[in-house]
Amino acid sequence: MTFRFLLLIVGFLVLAGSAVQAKEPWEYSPYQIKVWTIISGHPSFDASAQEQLNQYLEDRAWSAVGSVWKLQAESAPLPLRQLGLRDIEEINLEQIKSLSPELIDEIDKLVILVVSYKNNRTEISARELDCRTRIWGPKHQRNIVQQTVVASESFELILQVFSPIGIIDKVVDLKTSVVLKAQGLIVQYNSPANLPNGHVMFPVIRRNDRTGKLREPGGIQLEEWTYLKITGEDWQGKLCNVSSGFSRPLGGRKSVRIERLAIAAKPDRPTTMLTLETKGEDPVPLEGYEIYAKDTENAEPVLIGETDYNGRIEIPYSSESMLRLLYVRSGNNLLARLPVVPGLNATMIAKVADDARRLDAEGYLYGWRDQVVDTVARRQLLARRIRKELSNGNVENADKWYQDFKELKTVDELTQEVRKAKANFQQNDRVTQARIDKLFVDAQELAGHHRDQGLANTLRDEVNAAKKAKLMQ
Amino acid sequence: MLTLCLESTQAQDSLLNSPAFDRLIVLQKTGEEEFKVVPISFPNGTPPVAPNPVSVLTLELVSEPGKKYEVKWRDIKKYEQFGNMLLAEANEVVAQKKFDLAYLYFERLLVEYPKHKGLPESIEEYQVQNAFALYQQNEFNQALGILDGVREKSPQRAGIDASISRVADKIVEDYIAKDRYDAAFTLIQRYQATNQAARFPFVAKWIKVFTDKAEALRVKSKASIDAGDPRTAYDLAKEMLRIYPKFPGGIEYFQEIVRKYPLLQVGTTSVSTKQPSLDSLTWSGSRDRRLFYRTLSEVIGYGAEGGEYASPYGSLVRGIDGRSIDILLRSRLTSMSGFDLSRQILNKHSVGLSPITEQFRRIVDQVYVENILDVHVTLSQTHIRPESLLRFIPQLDQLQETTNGPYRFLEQEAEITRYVLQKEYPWKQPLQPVEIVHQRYESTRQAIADLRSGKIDLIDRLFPGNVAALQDDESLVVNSYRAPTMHVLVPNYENPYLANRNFRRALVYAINRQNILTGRLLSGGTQEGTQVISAPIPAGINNDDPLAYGYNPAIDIRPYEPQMAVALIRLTEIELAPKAKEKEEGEEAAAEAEAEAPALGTLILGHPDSEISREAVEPIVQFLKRVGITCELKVIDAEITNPVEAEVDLLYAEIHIEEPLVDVPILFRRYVAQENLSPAFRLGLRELGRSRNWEQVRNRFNSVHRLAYDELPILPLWQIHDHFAYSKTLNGVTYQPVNLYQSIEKWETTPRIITSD
Repeated sequence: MTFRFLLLIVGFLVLAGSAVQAKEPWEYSPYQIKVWTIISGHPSFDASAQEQLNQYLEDRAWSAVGSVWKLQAESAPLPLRQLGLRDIEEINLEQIKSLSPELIDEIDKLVILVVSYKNNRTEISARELDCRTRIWGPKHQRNIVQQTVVASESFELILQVFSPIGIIDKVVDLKTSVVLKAQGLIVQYNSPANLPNGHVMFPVIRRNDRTGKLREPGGIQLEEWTYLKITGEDWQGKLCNVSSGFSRPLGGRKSVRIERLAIAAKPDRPTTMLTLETKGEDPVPLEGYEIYAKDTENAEPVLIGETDYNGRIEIPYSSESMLRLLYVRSGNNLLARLPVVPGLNATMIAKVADDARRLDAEGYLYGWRDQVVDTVARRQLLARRIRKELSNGNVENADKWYQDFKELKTVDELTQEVRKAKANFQQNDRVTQARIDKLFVDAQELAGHHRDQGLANTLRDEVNAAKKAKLMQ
Repeated sequence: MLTLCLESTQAQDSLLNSPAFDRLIVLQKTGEEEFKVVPISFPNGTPPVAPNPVSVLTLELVSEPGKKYEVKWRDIKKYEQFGNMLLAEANEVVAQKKFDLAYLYFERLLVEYPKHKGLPESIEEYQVQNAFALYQQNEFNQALGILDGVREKSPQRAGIDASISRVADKIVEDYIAKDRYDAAFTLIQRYQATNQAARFPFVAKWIKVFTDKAEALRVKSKASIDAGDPRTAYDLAKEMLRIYPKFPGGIEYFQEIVRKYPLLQVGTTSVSTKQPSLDSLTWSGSRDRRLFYRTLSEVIGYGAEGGEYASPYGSLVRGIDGRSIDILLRSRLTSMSGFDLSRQILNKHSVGLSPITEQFRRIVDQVYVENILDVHVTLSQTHIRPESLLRFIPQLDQLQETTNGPYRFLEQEAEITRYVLQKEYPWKQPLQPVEIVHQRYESTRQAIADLRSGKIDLIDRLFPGNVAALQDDESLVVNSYRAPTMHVLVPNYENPYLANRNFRRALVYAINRQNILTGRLLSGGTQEGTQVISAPIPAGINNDDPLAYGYNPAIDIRPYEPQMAVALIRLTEIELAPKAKEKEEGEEAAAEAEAEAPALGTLILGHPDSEISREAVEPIVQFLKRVGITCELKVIDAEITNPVEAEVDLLYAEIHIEEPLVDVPILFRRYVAQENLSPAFRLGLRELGRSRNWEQVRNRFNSVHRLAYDELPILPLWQIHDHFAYSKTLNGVTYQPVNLYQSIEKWETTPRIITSD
C-alpha cells in the first residue's frame, strides 16, 4: 500500500467522521431544548434556588425523557425578567434575537419558565418557542401552594408545553406521513416526543435561503384551516389524514429550500371563538349561519348553533376528537367546511361567501312557486266550472266564466316575471351567482311542466261549439 | 178584559154607543110618556128656559125619522138633550169607578160635545177620581201624571197640591227603596222649580232627608280625610252627591276631594293586566304598560322618518350619520347619573334590559360620560332609529318596586281592576288621577251608556261599529289612536297541517276577511285606516302615513276564494300522505309515517277575552266550516304568545306596533319559533336591523313583506284604527296618542254628577 493511498484513507476517515458529527438524521437527532427560568416573589426564591431548579430540570429531563431531549436550563437574561414576571406573553422573538442572535438557529425549542409567588400561592407559567418555525405555543399555567413541589411541577409544565415537530411527506389523496423529530430515539410510548393516534398537528411551511437559513421576512407560512390527524404509524413515521378547508392543501412547488413541517397542537382553553365574515375589503359579519360539527368519520354532523349578530359562535372542544370538522350552512346550502382544533386559538376568522342574495332568491322563488300552484289550481277550477255549465246547457254562463278565465294570469306570464326578477339577484361572487342561476333555471323548468296553454284553446273551442249548437236549435 | 167586556155590554145598553137622541117626556091624559127624538139644535144650544106654553116644538121621532110632529111646550114636561144625558151617565160611571169606561164616555163627549157645559168639570173630576184609584192601586206614577194634568188646567183646585204631594211622596219613597236617588231627586226638582215648593209638602220632607243623609256622608268623608284615607273620602263624597246632587256646598266639597284624590274611571271591553311585561306587543299590554313603566325613550308620535321619541329623563340627540346617540340627562328630572346609565348599558347581566335593548348593546361600540350627566354612545354600525332601541328601564335593579311607572296594581275584583299612583313617582303632577279604575264591560254599548250617565269617564277602545254614531254626541270627545292595531292568527307549527305553507294559504283563502271586517266589526260602515292587510305590518292610517314605511301597498290582498282553499287543503293532504314520505325518504320512513298519518281533526282557535276578538272569531269559525275545517273556540290570556303553550292550533292576537323597524322583527321572533321561519325570512329580518338609510329600510321591508305574504308564518287578518271616547270633563288627553296613557300625568278629572239611565 502506498503512502499516498494511506493518506487518502486517513483523509476519508477524518472527513467521514466530521460529516457524522456535523449532521445527525432528523429522526435520530434529539431535541435541543433551552429553558430560561425566571423566579421571584418569595424569600426562598434566591439565586441558589434558581440554580437548584435549573439543575433539577436538567437532571429530570435526562431521567424522565432520556435521549430524546438535550435540555439545558439557565436563568433568563436580565432584560426579560420583568417582562416575564409581568406577563410571559410579553416576551417576543425580537427581544430574544436581540439578546442572543444565534440562539434561535442553534436550538430546537426555547422554553420560558416563570415561577412567581403572589397572594400566598406560587404561579408557574411556561411557554414554548419552536425555533425552527418561530412559532410560539400557547401559555400554560399552574398554581400551587406547596413550595416543595415547585420543581416537579415546573418540569411537568415543560412537558405540557412541549410540542413535537415533524416533517411532512408528500400528500396523496389527503393522506400523508410525518417523520417526527427524534422518533428513532423514542423508547417509551409515552415519551413527550411521541404522539398518540388521534392527536392533531398543524402544518407550517418554512422557506430557506441558499445557505439553509430561514428567509426573512416571510419565510414562515402557516397553512390555515389545515390539520393533520394521526391515524397510525408505519416504519417511516406517523400516518396522518389531512383535513383542510381548501381543496388542495399542502400543494405548491416542491423545493429543497422549502420545508413542510408539522407541529403538535396543544390547546390550552376549552373553546375557540369562530367569526364568519364576508370576503373582500370591507368585510361584514355573517349572522344566522348554521354551524354543524362532525367529530368522527362515521358520525353525522350535529348542529352547534348559529352565528350571532357579530358573526361569532363559540366552538367547544369535543371529548371524541381533538379535531372537529365544521360545516357552515346557510339554508340548504353548504358554504364551507372548516377543520378546527377548539382551544388551540382563542379566535379564528373565516371568510365565507355571503349567501344573502342566494337566500333572498330562494325565498323569492319559493313564493313564486306558490303563485304557480295557485295559478294552476285557479285555472283548473274555473275550467271545471265552465265545463259544468256547458254540461248543464248554460251556455251564457259558461261564456261568462270563460271571459273571466281569459283574464286569469297564465304560467307563461309568471315565467316572464321570474325571468325579469332574476336581474334583481345579481351577485359578484361567481360561485354564489352560479347557485342563484341554478335556482332560477330549476324554477323555470318546474313552470314548464305546468304550462296549460292547450287548456285555454280547448275551452274556447268547447264554448264556441256550444254557442253554435245553441244558435242552430 | 172581562170587566171591560161587561162594561161594553153595559155600554151597549147605555148611551155610550147609542146614536144621539134627545129625550122628550110628554104629559098625556093617561100620564107621562117618554119619546126618543132626533136631537134638535136650539138657537142657544139648549132648550128655552121659559118657552111660550102654546108655542109648538117641531120634532122627529127617532123611530120615525122624517115625520114631523108638533108638541106644545105646555105639554112637555121635560126635554133632555143627549149631551146632558151622556154626561150624566159618564159622571155616574165615574162614580162607579169604572174609569176605563168613563174614558170612552168623555172621549165621545169631547168629540161630539166639546163645549158642553159641565164637561171640563166632569173630566176633571174623572181624572181626580182616576188618580185616586191608581194611587190606591200603587200606580203612583200614573196617578201623578194625571194629577199634574189636572193641576195644569186647574191650579187652584182645592186639594190638588196636597194630592200631588201625597202621590209624589210615595214615588220618591219607592225610588229611594230602589236606591235610585237620581230619579227621586229629578222628581223633587220638578216641583222645587215651580217656585211653589211650599205647596208641596213632600219636597221639604225629602229635601230634609237628602240633606241629612248627605251631611252624614260629608262628615264621614271628612273623617276619612283626617284619617289619611282619601280614597274612602272620595267614595263617600261621590255617594253624597249621588244622593243629593244639589247639596249646598256639596259640589265644592267634592271638587276639593277630587283635587286631593282625582280618580279616573275607565271602561274597557278587554281584560286588564295586573302587570304587563315591558315588551308586550298586545293591545292591552301596550295600553297598561305606560302605567307601570317609564323607559329611557318613548314613542310620542310619528314624523316623516318613523317614530318620534322623547325621554322623561332628559333629551336624546341622534348623530347625523346615525353612528351615535347622546343621552343628556337632566338633574331636575332624574337623580340618575350618566355613570349609572353607562354601567347598565355595558353590563350584560343588568336587569331591565329587554330583547329590544339586546339589539342596542350589540351595536354599542363605545360609551363615555361627560359632565356627569351626558352619556355619549358611539355605535359600531349605522342605525336609522337608535332611540327605538332605548326602550328600557334605567336602573331597574336599583328600584324598590319592579316597576318605575306612575301606577301600581292595587286590587282586582270581579270586573274591576284598580291601579293606584305610586307615591315616589318622580314625575307626578298635582292634578293627575290618583287612582285608575278599569271597569270591564261585555260590550261597548253598555260602556257607552255608563259613559253618558257619568259612571265612567272614558272608554279605552270603542267597538269599530259604534264609532260613527258616537261622533255625533256633543257631550263626548271621540279620539283616535295614532297607530292601528293588527289582528292576526298565529299557527301552531306542531300541527303538521299548520306547518305546511299550502295549508296556511288555504286558511287565508277560506276566510272572507273583508266581509267580517265590514259586516261584523264595522257594522256595515267604513273607517279610515281600518282595512284588511296582506302581511302583519302596519299599513298606516292613510296613504301618506309615515308609519306605513314598512308596508308595500302594491302587494295585493289574497281574495276570498273558498274553492282555492279546498284545493290547497287537498294538496296538503297529499303532501302529508305516506306516499309522499316514501318518495322523499324511503320505505322505512314511509312505514313509520303510515303509522302516524295525521288527520286534520278539529282545530282549536284561541282568542283573548275582548269584544272585538269575540265578534271576529265566530264568523272565522263559520267560514272555515264551509271548507271542511271544524273549529272550536277557546278563551286564552291575551299575553300568551305561544300557541303550543296555550294548547291551541291558531292563536288570535291583537298586535300593537310602535316602531315597525324594530317591533316587526320582534313580533315574528316572539310568536314564531325560529326553526319555523325559513332561512330567507330570518335573513330578511336580520337585514332590517342592519339598514343604514331609509332606502335600505324600504327595500328590505319590501322583501320581508313579500316573504311574509308568501310564507304566512303569521296569518294576517286586518288592522283596525282604534278609537276611544271620553267625557268633556276630562282634560289633558293627548290628541291621537300612540297609547292611551301617554300623557297620563297631565290628565285632570272634574266632578261629574251621575245621572239616571
